[in-house]
Amino acid sequence: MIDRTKELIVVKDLYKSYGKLQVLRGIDQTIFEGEVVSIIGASGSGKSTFLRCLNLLEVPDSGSIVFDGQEITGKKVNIDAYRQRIGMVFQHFNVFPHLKVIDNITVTPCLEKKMDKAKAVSLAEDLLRRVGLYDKRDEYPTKLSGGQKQRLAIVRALAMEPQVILFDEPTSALDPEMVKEVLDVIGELARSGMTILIVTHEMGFAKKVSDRVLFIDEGQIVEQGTPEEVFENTQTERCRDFLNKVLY
Amino acid sequence: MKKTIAMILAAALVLGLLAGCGQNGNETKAANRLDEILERGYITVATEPYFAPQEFIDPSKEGDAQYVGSDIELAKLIAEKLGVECRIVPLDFTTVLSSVTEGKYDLAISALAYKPDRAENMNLSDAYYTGDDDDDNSYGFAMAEGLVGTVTDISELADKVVVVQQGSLQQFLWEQSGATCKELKYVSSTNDAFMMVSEGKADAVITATAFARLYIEANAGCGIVMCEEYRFDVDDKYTGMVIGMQKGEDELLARINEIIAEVVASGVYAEWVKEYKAYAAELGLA
Amino acid sequence: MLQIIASIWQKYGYVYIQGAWGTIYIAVLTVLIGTLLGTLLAFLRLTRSRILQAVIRLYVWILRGTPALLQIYFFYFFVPKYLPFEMSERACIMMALVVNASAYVEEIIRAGIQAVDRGQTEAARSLGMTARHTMTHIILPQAIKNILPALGNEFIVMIKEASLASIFFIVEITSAFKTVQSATFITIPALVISGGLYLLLTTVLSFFMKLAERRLQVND
Repeated sequence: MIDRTKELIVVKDLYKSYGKLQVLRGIDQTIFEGEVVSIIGASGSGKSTFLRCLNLLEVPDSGSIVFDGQEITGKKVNIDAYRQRIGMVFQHFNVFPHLKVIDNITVTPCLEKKMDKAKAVSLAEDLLRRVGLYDKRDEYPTKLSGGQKQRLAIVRALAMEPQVILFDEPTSALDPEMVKEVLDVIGELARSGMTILIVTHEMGFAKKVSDRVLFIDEGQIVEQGTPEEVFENTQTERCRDFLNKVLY
Repeated sequence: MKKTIAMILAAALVLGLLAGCGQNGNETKAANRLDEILERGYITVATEPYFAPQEFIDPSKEGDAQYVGSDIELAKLIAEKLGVECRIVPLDFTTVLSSVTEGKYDLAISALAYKPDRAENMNLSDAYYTGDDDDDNSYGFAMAEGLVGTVTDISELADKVVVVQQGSLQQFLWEQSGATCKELKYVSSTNDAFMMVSEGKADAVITATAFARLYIEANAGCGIVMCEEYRFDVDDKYTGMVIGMQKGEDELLARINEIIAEVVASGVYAEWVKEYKAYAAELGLA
Repeated sequence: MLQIIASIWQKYGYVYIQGAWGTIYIAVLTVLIGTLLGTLLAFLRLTRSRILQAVIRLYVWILRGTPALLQIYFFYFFVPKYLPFEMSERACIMMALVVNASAYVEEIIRAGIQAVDRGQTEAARSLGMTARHTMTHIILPQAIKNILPALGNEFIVMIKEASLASIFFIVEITSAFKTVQSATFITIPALVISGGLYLLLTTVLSFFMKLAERRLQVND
């Protein structure tokens, strides 16, 4: 049962810099269970960095991140346990080339959740059927197209039964004809009630599928709201400028 | 910054370990080397086994037995007289000298000739062999066949390429003679020097007559001929072969000289030379 | 020339055969122990200890930055003085070769591991895989593909470097050449036989390395 009032991720005052470059300048945000939140912004605005801080791939300089009631930025935190509950899908897929498609999916549940191999395989096969990749189950990823690899990456993340999935520009590296098949999967995921944060340039998708949109510019959330609010009734100058540039 | 400090600490650690281990258990308990040899029950003799008939290798034998020659017989005799085991240590020529000078091995028996700088750095024994036939123990130069007749004296090498074994008496003799050449090349082993003349990379090689004769005889068609018209005028002092050992080991020197006196009196070395000349000839292909 | 080679082989073939076994023995020991030591060093270097990393960097820097010949002289003359126990000359030389090899192997393995795309580590960790499992199940299997060709080349180098032991009269293919040369006073044909033996050994090794590499490419 999805509780839309439950605060899944609470971010307070997040700061992150690389050397002299200040990338995140005080981000505050609350993500509720079941929400689909799109994050838009120019390159270098900090949107990917923000996303990667949420599962601590980037370690913030200061600020706090509370996931499902637990502070995860502390030093003594068992980050592996949290990451099992936060899935991530990358722009460049990052599927494991030395493992067959089916093994890509079963390796982590078996290793970390001590899942019985047969059960993991059965779970994986269901997931593959769900995204139309079942017939590729014994292939190696090099035989897959970009779109197929990304769909594999998505179900690989799903196999860990996470509470939220973070998408970092999942279609930016795809040939245009494969973008839709991946967006379809993400859309279906959204409809099934998964909590989703997606950094994307696909404005059409963001409009159609999101509950909320965040516009990040120069390390800060400059504008946020429902898709209508952000796209039709843009409040800020900066957001308007950005949208003018990207919406052809 | 942190990384640099870590690197320096690491280097200090390693150096400290090296220095700290220091002279552990390798201090000689005995008062001198002779006593030490007698105590430990074996004597180490360094030699360069590429110089027939003094020391060379018989490939058909195993272990220490493969090293044969008149010098090897001398080494075995010395060991026998001292009542210890004889261990032959084969090394290249310069390492023979340096390792004995440093004291790593007890004796250097390798057809060594007396040289002033050698005497300064090592204890050199009395001569154990001065050659039964004057010419046999003489020094001169061997040259490319084509030069026979045209080159009859060392001064005629002025426009030739000359090669000599580094650190040897031959090199010393060449330098003392004041002769000049177009180019002087060095090699670490006499064989290489002869090769160079054969291959036309040098015109002449300064050499001991005995060795040259053996080489030319074994190597038909090598294109080398000993220049018969010239011999170095070698001071008596230099004509004998001596044994080298660490400087300051006078007890050892005295004992070795005692044994050498016996050897010289009995004339056994000359017999060994004859025996091993024949032996060496058999090892060749001809 | 061929005639002379045949005569040499007839009389002294066994010297070369013994030498070949000597070279193989040295090369095998160097490869096995050198690789083991190098692998250990590579993993030690991956730990968090700054001191350990610095020590290993120093070790690798010196061993790769100086000629193997000098290292052999060093181990032959210097090391026995400071060791608290007796070590035969032969063992000192083997130690020198092994230590030298380990430095090169360490670099090969370290580079092989680092060459694996960062995205792989990110993906594995994002799934919640522990650091250790990420290394053993994701990184290492992929690193091996990078490492094997370079390691194969290093093995070939080790075979040839065994020739340095001939300076100290260790039984080996180059020592065989010198022995035969000094007994017969014949150089070039004796040399050709030695060269031929080295070529044989390195070619056979190359062949097996290629086989191993091809097997790993099955899933590429």
